[in-house]
Amino acid sequence: MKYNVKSKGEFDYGLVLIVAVIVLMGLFVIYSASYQKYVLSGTNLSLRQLQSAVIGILVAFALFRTGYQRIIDFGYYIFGLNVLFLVLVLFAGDMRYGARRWIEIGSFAFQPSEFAKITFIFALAKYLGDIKEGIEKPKALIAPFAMAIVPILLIFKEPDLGTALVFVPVLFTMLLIAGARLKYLMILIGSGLACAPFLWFFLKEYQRNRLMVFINPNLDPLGAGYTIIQSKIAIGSGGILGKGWLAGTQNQLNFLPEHHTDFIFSVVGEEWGFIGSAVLLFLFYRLVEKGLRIAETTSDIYGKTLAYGIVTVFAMHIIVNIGMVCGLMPVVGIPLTFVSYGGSFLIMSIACIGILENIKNKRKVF
Amino acid sequence: MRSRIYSTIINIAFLVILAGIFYLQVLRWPLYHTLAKNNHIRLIPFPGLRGTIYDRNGLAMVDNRLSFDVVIIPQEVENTDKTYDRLAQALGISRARIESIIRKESSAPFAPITISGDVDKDLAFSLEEQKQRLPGVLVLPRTIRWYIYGERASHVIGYLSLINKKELDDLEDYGYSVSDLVGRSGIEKAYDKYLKGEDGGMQLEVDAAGRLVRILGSKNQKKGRDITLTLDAKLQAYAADCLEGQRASAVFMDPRNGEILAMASSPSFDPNIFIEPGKNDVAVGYVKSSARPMLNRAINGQYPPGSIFKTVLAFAALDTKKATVHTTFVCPGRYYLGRAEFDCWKLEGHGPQDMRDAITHSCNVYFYNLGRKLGPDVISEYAQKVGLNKPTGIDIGGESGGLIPNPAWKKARRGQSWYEGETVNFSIGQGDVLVTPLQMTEVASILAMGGAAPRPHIIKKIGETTVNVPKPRMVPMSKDTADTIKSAMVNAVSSDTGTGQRARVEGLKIAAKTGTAEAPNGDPHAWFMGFAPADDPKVAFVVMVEHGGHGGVAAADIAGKILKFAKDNTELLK
Repeated sequence: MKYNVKSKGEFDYGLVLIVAVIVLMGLFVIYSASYQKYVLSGTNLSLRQLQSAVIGILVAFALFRTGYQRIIDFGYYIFGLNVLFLVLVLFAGDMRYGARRWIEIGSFAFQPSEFAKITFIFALAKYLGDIKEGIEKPKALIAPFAMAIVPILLIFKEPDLGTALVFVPVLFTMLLIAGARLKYLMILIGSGLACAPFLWFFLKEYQRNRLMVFINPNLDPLGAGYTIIQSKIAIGSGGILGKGWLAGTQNQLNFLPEHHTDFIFSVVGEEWGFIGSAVLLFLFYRLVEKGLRIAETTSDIYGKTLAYGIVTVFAMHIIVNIGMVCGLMPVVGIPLTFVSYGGSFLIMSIACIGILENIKNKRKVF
Repeated sequence: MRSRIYSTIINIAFLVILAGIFYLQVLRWPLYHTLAKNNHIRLIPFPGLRGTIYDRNGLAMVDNRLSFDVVIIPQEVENTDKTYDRLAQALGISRARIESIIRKESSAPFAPITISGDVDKDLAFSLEEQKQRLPGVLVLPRTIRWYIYGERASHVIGYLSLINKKELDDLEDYGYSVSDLVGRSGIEKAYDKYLKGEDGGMQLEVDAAGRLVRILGSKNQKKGRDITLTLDAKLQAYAADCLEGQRASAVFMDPRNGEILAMASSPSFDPNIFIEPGKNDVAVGYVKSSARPMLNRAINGQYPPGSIFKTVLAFAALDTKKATVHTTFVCPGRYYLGRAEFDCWKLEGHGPQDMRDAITHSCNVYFYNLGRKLGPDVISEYAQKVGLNKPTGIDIGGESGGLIPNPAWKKARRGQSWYEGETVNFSIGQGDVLVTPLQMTEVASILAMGGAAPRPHIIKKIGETTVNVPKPRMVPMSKDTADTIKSAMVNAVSSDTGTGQRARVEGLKIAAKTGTAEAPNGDPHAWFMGFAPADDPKVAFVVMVEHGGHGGVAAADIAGKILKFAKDNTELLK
């Protein structure tokens, strides 16, 4: 890095506060969502989530101290390593809920796919930063697409359609911000949409059913449509004030499947009502806004694309997750940032906050 | 510019989601609230039984019994062809019939459809044994109302049918619900709120797998209150049998307290039909029949009383002192008023008759004379004194009041003056006069008790509480008057020239008066009114046969038979 540039050394406390509030809300919601399990087996999932949060904070702190530029320098290698894990998970992964997504090391299990999102962003940021204006050439788009398609296919194979799909908007956002020609991006999006129907043949039976029941949940009310119907009932029955913490019947009586992971927002809706949902949604909105502000005010192309990539991951998870539990989108299983139970994703998300803060911190002064 | 596109997309996405949440939680809350409740709350109803109805001796007249319904849950049938064929064979109906029932009654998936209600117990058990071979077919036990006496007590007891929409709106606050049966006539209607059981039920909370989580609340069902009637079931059944095949009615009442011992009306209907599924055509037949089997002729049949009305004239004449027991008129067999001729029923004439003779022989000419002496206003006044022209106030309701005319009534009603000829007709209970058999039973009681008019009633006890009966109303009547009329009525049965001699019962002193009332379109109505034993009255009665001919034949025969039965087979006359 150059010597004549001085960083402003800013730190966005508001961002950290928002994340802390959301994580704390998440802990309460997870406690309620897993309350029956806790009563029966003594497993306290919110405590485990808290452990993951602590790990996440440590990782975030480490990344903040390390500085994003130094990580970007190693971007390709980290990404390569992550891809190796994604290959590994397909052979040696731990089978849960009919999918191989976890790698177990001792008592610790993690999902390489969650980390692939951020390592991919680092690798792509390095590429875009290195190539600079060269990205305007169509040839320059080949490498980014190759980088994206590898994890997408591997994750799709696990199978984890939702996570695989997150790579697509991240790729396009970063290309857009890096200055790729809009014309080429449009052509790519257009041809992608044209190919979408053929994707149908690669989908698993349950994934097809999910898409079908999105169009009409009553097609199979006790089968594929069940989850979305019950989720809508949970949210809708919460009303304005909600049924109260630990008092949601849909949640506590198990009408709602996956209610501590992908469908955690239904629990928020049921127990905390419209007020709780709207407050959470507002916090998410502020989070994204602050992230965008950091991305916007960064002139370093590496930091800018990196920040946009991270914000896009957050926004995608928030919008798609809430959209799907409300029945506005088909069910593609992706978790809700900072709220859904799941260590890998939480650690990754908090770590990303560390990176965002670092980007803000390293902002150049002109 | 590029970042503007990006943030616009993000803003729109957040707004759409906020709108989506608002729609679900605020606008559609009522729907989802209900859906969530239906999800986890189950109601298991325990129907409350209706109260039993007993006769005066504690014999059950209406009870509840277990019945078996054969139902089908079409979605659970595995092999439609086989199941339907087997079921059709077992029930003895065609397969097409089963299919048409299922098509017609199918309301919601997994809702059981009744194929055959209240099947034979043996059939129910055999189907239950074949359960494995007939998946989707169930035999469900159900308690139903059982009218033990069927057609023989139906008018008094009444019947039940499903509550309708309007009634439900009115009665919902009193614990009635959609599938409730409500009383439609008689005791079942008048005492519905006592008889009606209180439905109980359990409210359960279940989880997603339908497992019981906890009991939210439960309410025990409560049987409605039992009712004890004043009826004697045996006498009631016998009286009903005696009327069979005729359009007739009979009322037997204890004159001392107004307890109705038997009240029969013919033709009759079977109340069991109304709660039996698939018997709707029979029920409609009852309502449409020109014989009007649903009509309780004892309280709603209004007829001219004919000669039994003469007792009222005798009372009026003696009480107003317009005549004494010795007042005599000669009966030449006819009576002239100007150029109009009025016949006695005995065309050769009764000759000289005093009051006793005239009652015993039912001489028309005597009463033409007496009536003209009294005038229509006095006759009308005394008819009303003995309770005619208005309902008796019996506790089953819906009673008719009859009609007692007088000049003022005619002027007001028809705008015409009263003719002398009408007085002549009025004197022998013809013309515009209308009475119900129950009203005349009340008259018989007053004569029996020398003026004490009891309030007719059918309910003796509700649960263990004895129903209060108002004290008899007193009709001022001198002992002489009462004795005179009574002795004449005794003669009517005991004398060989008496009109009611066919009613004689060995060892029972009966006082009675016959009546043969001219009726349009056919034979006259036959009446027989009286009480027994004459010296210590325990039963007052009226038998009335529409177009039955001579009261001294058709009605007296029936009355005699019933009285003999009462004497031989019941405690009523002891």
